[in-house]
Amino acid sequence: MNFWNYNQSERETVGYLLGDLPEDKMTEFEMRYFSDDELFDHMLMVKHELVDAYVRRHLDAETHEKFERHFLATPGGQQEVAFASALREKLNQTQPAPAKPQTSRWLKLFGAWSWPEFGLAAATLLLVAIGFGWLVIQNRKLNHELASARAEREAESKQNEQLRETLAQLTAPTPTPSIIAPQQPEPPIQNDRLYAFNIRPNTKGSSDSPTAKTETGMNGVRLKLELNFKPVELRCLVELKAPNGATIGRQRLRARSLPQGGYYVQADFRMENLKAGKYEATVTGRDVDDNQQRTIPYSFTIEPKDQ
Amino acid sequence: MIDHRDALETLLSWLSPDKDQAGQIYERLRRKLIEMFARRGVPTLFWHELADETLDRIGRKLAEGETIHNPEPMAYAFGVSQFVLSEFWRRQRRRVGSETQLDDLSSRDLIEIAAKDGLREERQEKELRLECMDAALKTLQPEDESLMRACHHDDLCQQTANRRQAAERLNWEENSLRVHLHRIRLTLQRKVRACIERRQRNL
Repeated sequence: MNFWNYNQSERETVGYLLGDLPEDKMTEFEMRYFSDDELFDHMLMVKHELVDAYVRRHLDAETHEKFERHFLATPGGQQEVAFASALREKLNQTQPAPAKPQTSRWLKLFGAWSWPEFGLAAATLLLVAIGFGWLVIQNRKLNHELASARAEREAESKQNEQLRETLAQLTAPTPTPSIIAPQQPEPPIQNDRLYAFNIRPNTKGSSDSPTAKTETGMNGVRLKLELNFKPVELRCLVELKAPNGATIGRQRLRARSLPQGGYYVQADFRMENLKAGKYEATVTGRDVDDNQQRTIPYSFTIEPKDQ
Repeated sequence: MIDHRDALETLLSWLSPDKDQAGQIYERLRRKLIEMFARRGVPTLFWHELADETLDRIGRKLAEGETIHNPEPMAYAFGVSQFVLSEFWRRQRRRVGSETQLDDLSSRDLIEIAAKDGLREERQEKELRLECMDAALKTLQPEDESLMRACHHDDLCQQTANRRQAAERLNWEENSLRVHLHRIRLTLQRKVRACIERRQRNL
């Protein structure tokens, strides 16, 4: 490939980025850019150009293959390509503005003016300044009114949210008081009546495992499981087992943060004919502190309806 | 026992007696470490951790009174980073066992769920990145934004043959144009990253 007629040093940089250099040369190159700020900046620039060329399909087949095999195989490379693709997409959405020559703005503004033109411009500026002052005062007044309207609307929206929560609690029995407040309202689940359980870790086997009475028409459970660790990339796996030990379902979900600190994960499991008994759930994920896998057990019980 | 703050203080005064300058050298060294770890295939999550571990280790050595024979801090830091990196890969290899444990949970259903989730997350991340890019582009100086658009249109500034002509057309010196575009891009990258992190925290 022509690689934009890069010079020897730039070709070495491309070789480093594409994993073309032998290990010792690679280490030597890194040592050099650690000691040489200019080389480091230059390496970053060549990297951006290389990534752009990949995204725009300017690389020849051999370089393209090397790029995918080496550069794109690293998480860092994937991020660079994702960024370059997004940039390209956004820049392609609109037509470019006509290229402007690089001349001083002041020179462009005043360079060709005569003194009478300056006088006229000064008078116009004065009028504009007076008008602007008036606009600022009006704007402040409007902002003040807007702020009070916003405050009123927020209070109204909070009230509505509280009402929705109360309604949700009435339609789905919550055996324990809610300790988990979601940061944003949950989307309504249509045609579903779910048992809602908010469970803290380590309730398995203990007496405070939440319970609910069997009700007709219930077709699933909503579990809000509080975590005692922060999962890596907030990813975790939730697994639910029926009283007979059969797996009801597994879901890979993202943990969310609790307003008071800590994390929780929410999972909905749809089940026809919910049977009474003790259900067990686990959340598995990697702890961000030590990258070790953690599996947290939870349980809840659905009791038979009183006869 | 040397605490983290003492280690940092000692490291900074080793980098430069001038506090401001020491801070700048520290930040630059950290950026180089992160870039090197990224190029060496370290997962994203660990870039900052390993960079901080390297810097902390140097600070502790200095605070403990160990004599460092290498007079060039950057070269010395590079040496330490190589130890940190090889220890990291050793730790990762030991964790292969626990990886398998998580994979044991994978049934066919689970893999399907994971694949669907993965695709959904990817789509969400892409949308988020585009939104953040849009916002970041709007914060650029108007002349920088139009330069970026002009350059990207028809791949004007992409290849050297074109780049020279493009630079002439845009009234720039070729190398200055390259450097300027690179700086705009670094700014955009920083803004997009901050926006994504902020939005993900609020999810």
